[in-house]
Amino acid sequence: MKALYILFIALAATISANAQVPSPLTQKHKRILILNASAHIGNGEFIQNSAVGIENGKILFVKNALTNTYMASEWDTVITAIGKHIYPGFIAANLTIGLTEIDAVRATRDFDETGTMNPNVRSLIAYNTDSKVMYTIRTNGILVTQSTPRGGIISGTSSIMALDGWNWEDAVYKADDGVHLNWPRKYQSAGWWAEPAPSSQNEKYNKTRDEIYAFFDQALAYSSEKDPVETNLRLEAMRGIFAGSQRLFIHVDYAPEMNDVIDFSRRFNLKFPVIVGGYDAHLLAAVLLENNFSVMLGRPHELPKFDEDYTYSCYQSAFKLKQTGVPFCIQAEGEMEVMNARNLPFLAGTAWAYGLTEEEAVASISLNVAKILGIDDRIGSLEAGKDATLFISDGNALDMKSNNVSFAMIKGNYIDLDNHQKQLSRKYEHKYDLE
Amino acid sequence: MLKSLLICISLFTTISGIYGQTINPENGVAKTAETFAIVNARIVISADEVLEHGTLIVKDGVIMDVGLAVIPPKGAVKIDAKGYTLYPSFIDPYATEGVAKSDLRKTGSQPQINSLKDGPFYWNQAIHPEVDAYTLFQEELFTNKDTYLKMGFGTMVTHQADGILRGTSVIRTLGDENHQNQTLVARGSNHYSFSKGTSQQSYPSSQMGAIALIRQFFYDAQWYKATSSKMDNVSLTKGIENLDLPQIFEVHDKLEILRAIALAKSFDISLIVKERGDAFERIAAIKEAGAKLIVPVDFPDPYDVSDPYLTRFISLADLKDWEMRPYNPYLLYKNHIPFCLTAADLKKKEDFLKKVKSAVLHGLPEKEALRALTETPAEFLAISDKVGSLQAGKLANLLVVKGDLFKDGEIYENWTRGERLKLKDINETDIRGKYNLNLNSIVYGWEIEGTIDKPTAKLSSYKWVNDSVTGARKMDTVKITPKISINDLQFSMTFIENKGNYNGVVMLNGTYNKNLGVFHGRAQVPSGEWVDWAAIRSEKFKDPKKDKKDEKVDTSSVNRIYYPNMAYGFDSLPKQSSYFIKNATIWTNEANGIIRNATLLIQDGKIKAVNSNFVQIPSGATVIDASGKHVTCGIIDEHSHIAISKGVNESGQSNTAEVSIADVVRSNDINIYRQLAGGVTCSQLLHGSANAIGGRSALIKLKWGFTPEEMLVKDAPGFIKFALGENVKQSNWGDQSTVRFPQTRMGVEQVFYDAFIRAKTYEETWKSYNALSEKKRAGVPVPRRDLELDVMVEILNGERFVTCHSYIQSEINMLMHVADSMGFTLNTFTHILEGYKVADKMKAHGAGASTFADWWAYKFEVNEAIPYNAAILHKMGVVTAINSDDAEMGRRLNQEAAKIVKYGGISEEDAWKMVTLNPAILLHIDDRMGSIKEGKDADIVIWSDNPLSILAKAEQTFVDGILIYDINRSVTLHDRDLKERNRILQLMLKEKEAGAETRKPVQKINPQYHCDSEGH
Repeated sequence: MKALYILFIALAATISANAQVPSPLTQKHKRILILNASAHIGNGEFIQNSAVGIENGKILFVKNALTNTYMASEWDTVITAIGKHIYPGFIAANLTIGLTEIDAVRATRDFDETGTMNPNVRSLIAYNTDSKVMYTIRTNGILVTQSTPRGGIISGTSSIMALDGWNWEDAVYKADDGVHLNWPRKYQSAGWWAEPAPSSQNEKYNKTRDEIYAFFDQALAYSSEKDPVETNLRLEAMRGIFAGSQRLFIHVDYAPEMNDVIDFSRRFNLKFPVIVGGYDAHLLAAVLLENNFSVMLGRPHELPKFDEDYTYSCYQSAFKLKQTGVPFCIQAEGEMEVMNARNLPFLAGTAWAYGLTEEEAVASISLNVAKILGIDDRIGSLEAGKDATLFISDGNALDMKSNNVSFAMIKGNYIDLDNHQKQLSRKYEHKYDLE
Repeated sequence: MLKSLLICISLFTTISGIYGQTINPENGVAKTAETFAIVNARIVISADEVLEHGTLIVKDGVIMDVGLAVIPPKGAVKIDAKGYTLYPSFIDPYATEGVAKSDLRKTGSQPQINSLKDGPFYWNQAIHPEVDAYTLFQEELFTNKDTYLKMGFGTMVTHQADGILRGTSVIRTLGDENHQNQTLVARGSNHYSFSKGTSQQSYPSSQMGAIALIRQFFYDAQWYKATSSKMDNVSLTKGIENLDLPQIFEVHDKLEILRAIALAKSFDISLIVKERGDAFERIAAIKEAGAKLIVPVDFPDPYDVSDPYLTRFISLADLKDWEMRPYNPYLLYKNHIPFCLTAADLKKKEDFLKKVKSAVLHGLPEKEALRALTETPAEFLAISDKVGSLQAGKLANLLVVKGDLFKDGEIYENWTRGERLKLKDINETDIRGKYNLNLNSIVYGWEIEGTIDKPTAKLSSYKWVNDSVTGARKMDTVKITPKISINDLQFSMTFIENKGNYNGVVMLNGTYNKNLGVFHGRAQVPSGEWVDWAAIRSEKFKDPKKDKKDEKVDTSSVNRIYYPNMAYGFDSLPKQSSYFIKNATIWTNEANGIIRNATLLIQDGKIKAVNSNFVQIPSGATVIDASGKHVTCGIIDEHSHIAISKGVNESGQSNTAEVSIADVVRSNDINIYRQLAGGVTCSQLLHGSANAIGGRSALIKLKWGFTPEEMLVKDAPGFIKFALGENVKQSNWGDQSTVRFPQTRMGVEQVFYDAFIRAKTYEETWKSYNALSEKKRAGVPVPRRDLELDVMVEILNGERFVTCHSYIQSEINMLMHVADSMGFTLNTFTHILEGYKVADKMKAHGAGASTFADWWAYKFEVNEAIPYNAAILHKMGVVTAINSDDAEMGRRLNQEAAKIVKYGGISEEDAWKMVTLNPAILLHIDDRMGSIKEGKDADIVIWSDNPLSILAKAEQTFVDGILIYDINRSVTLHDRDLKERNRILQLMLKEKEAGAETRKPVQKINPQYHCDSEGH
């Protein structure tokens, strides 16, 4: 208990140095025990009163605190979290976190490269660990992201990154985890957006689809050669897709295109195809299952795409897909997605309100994401042997009014939960004597 | 002056018509007037008057006489029209044919601030009442004239369909002789629209801007007329002069019909509205507005619905629209709305009659179709003395028709001013029938079928042959298809015979005798020899088509119009009712806070009793057991941009106080329904933030299904949107938008000072003018009325409140200084993301705040926006609300309020007030909304849970005591919609099978506006 006291003093010291930029913390404690929190494991299980043991950055065990006893002296630090909740760090897949700072300022936008086929473009090296926005995201429990490029037909290669680190090398969880393919739409919008003309059929659809096939044919042929005479950077970047070491993330929403995507996946024998968006995935669930697809569902907080859809069609999409058995998770791509990333827990919360169980909702932004991204051996749930990438919230983290993250660690390292918004708040509360 | 001139001209034409005098010099000897007597015809004089067997006399282009026993004058050319019907030819009241288009185009890519039109014209390029179509009409541009004539038109109103005040049309007859003399009225009607057309001038960029511009123009024109200006302005002069003509306003949907009429009424202008074919959707309101309509018949083709996934992209609204449009004329007739038909909007004008026939099949009586094409347009355009019926004295604009014009009829002749256009020959020779053909003593069987003008023939050649097995002789028949043609009475035919009677080509020519049904003539046989031939009819032709039954008129579909006519529309509008809610947890927002196990009575649209022990449950009240549920007043969104037509921003100028969102409320936005599903009952629809002084806002109750007028909150305090920062100075509009003042925050301040200082002078001017005695007033010029400054004066006088889009502390501070020095109070800062930095100043000034819960980082100016903003403002005593600015978030404002509990530790009750009572206070409507209190509006939401909980769902939403959203009814409506889709898809498939052309599915996109949605 003594050690715990010391830790909190250390954190308080950081905070009182008002305007400091949050930075990765140095930490001496190797063995940490978190007691009495309600544990949302991430795999669907729940322990009302848990004991979570951590050593050298890894989770040693997650047990029921009522049926097991622990000696405080065996731990560097014991944190009691009575009445609080412990969660695995939430994972924000498919976002431009670290690649943009202020949407309207072009100089800060680093996610959309020119050109149509850019698999060789990598988010990894542009990932900005000093992003001010990033600090406001992790304070809501989001600790890991799949930093993803946008634009073109093949946007580039994403990487899975922690929301903490001195630099991108520090922050990387899995470099170059997958390539992102934006499948063309059969319908294209027209007119200008204040007076949109009806969407009409995309005359170039077949042409674009053929281009994708041609590119993949080329890449497949190239990948069969171990040491090509001439290096082709684009095709080189596709190697992992065919070797099975990288995922292909195919961004597609509607059934007609999704059918083509399924054919495409069969043709290239994709081992672990992932659909991103998947508004219509529930309609084609059987075929998707049969072909080993997973789905990273679009934001529940979106308007329905058709007038006739239920007003809550997006709130309910996770539940509908869950019923089919297709592996899925929730992601938050969309308008102002980076600053909005901190609302990811509430997207899952809404899915809970509209059909998922609470623990399924937790899984939809933790273990399910880790599985689809292929890093569930390391993160995604509170299970022995995994990284201690987790957080404690004073209340239910999926509900806005009670999400209050008081403690978080990535790979066993405490992270600073201050951010410039909190600093500004303190600055003016002080000015007005509101403290 | 001009009016009297017009009368002169029309008198003159009448006289010249009667006496056959001519102004034009004749090249050669003079022609005399031609006289025709059409006899033995059925004459449809007008929709209501038919002569079954009469005579019509035409002299010099005018109908001299018409009647049962009219004796043809001597020297008249007699035309026997037995079996034919005469109709008045059609009038198209709305065309653009033959009129040259405007060729003014800006160069360069920067916005065009000023008009490109030099000369004594209005400052706005979309306002050009001085354009007279008669000066622009060129016969050679009228390329589809033949089609119009074939479709039965004889008169056309054509104009330059460009801009907002478009100028006048020319009314012309469609004759071919002497184009100069075809004009009926040179300045026929005065034209308007809401669209600026080819003008690329920045202003107006929105429909509300166009509406304001029309208003301001008329004030300017009236003022110009009343004062003796030193400068001459043709636009202003013509704008007033043109008001003596019929006024035609082109619109694009049913709501615009109402907008146009309301606008015109405010200037005592009686309008004829050229609608777009969907008036039926809001027919009651349109009727009440006293509309006269010009109605297109471009009923859409069915969609190709063969692919289920692609079919899904077609909205139910679109499907229903397809089904209902052909009923539009019928419904207008049934509702006694005066209307005429036009070929306008039809891509293929040659389909016009087919479409009118379709309207007849969909219920429009034939006689009403005729009226809508003749008398009504003549009356609308004040040309009834000249055209529109076959009465004596009118122009001989008539159609000679075989059959019933609007059923199986065919137009044979179209006469214009007595000029006879023969489309088909009324004396046509019908050679069809069965014949025996004798060709040089060889007899063939002969059958002529097909249509009268394109007959086809079959020839049977008989030959005796020996049977190869039995050796017996027998008759062998060979069928031959010859090529034939008939021109008047001369006939020719060619056929080939192989090893028959001949071996080679046989060519015949002959003369037909109509009365006997006999051909005779000469033929050349393969040998080159000429021989005689003859054929005698043995049997008359029987048309197989004639046996077909008339298609049935079925109008049952007209009972399927929803309110609005789309997904989740109501079959009939829900009504106010009494509800008694019991066992509820009620969030009152009043002193008694949250009361558990409480009751609530709603009656006559109001909250009647809150947890009263003495409540009388009225008979017929619905009792709702709300055990486990939470009941609140409806959410009020201080900052919304849903339900707006054609542009949320009038971005053409930096001060657009003259525009108002109330003019463009769009009642059929599906987002209204979606907000109800999130517990929202009232929204302030704000102008965007593209300029410093934006437009006035509209406050609506979300009464889904009702008209815009019914949604607007009556007597709501007026608001106007101001804006500061990046949007106002066009920071994110691209590199070209660098010419509109202001481009810096420094300039923004000057826009405000300029507007208010001008407004003060303006008010003074009017005050001193109004203080003058009537006598003295006559001696001084009346001040100009300026709509923009009117609004600024309202602000200065505290009669209109400001809600200002704002982010950065410096400019917030600045605006408060402007207001203080000008002597008014800023009511609300909206967005106000750096409000926390100046909360003390806001409190001192008396401004409220309406902010986002947690938005930031989307622009440079929101880099220091913090989610603790609302909490700090609240703690500083500033009335604080949470708003949406977004159709998606607008339906989760309960969640956004809950975030203030998280960010800043505000109590749940206080957080809840931020989306209910506090916006009501800011909007000065807290005397009727914002809490659950006796006497307030019954805008009530029943939630499944604590409304701030992530698990909360709005289960029932009442607006003014009407249960307007119900989560279970929503499911029922959804299922009904699926069935309705299926029913219409079946109809489409049937039409496709019946040979209709189809179009590819399209998805109509619902525009989503935000503050910075540029409207240009």
